[in-house]
Amino acid sequence: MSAPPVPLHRRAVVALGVGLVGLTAAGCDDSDGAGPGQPTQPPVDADSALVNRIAGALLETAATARTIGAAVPALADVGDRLSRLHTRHARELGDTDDPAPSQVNGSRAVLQRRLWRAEQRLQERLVQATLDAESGALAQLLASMAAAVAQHREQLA
Amino acid sequence: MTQIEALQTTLAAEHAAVFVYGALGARTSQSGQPALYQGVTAAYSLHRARRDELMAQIDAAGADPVAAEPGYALPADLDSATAIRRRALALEKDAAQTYAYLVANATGATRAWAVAALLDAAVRGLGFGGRPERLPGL
Repeated sequence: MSAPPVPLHRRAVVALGVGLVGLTAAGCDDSDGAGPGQPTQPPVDADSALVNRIAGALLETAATARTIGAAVPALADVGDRLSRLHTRHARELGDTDDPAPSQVNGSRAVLQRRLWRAEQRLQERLVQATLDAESGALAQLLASMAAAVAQHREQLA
Repeated sequence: MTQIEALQTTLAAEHAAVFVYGALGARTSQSGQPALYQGVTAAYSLHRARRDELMAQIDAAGADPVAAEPGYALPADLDSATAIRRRALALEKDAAQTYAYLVANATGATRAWAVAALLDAAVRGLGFGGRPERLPGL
């Protein structure tokens, strides 16, 4: 099976995401423009509230994963991997903040459940955001992020 | 790119996936490689169902679903479990790209359907030896 042409290469998708939150779209080339084979692109700020909301959710979940990983040695690797993934996804959306530290209490089992629930909730939010996005390119990026979370959840199961 | 055109492109890809998975299943031993056989068989059934759903969506939109090619090129080296697993993983990565493309070019129920298919392809690839990626399908 040969894949169809991917309509936007990653750099262009990222540039669009950065543009949505009003930062400089460095590296954005002519392929960002709408045309045959290109996803729908509404006005630049149509999705900015959605992007801000999702970037916040990504950083919040990154903080949860990092904190739980630090609190439970058996979850250190997992927590670190998830935290880095979500932080990089937030960067794709133009959010350069670091995850805010948070505090957790509970047994290993409780914290593990909390981590799993946080990942599940994030995946659901990303899927919903994919459906809410006006921009096809942003929807594609958010769907890919949801798929990445699904892959990590599968490995944790 | 209209939604119908994107659906047709996705259907063409699924026609190919069904063909190749059929060939992989024929080269997998049910008794000798039960886990791989089960994985390939399940993937074949799923992609066939997706193909049928795509045909129904396109038909419902009043267009003629694109037909399958008479045949598709298969890699010569498919005589080991490792080679079959590698080929199945490549199919799922291609499927993830295809559905990410459909997500970008569809709205509403079709986009929701494409997102579910993208997530499934990304996770299914892990069963064939894939590793989690930062942005599956892109």
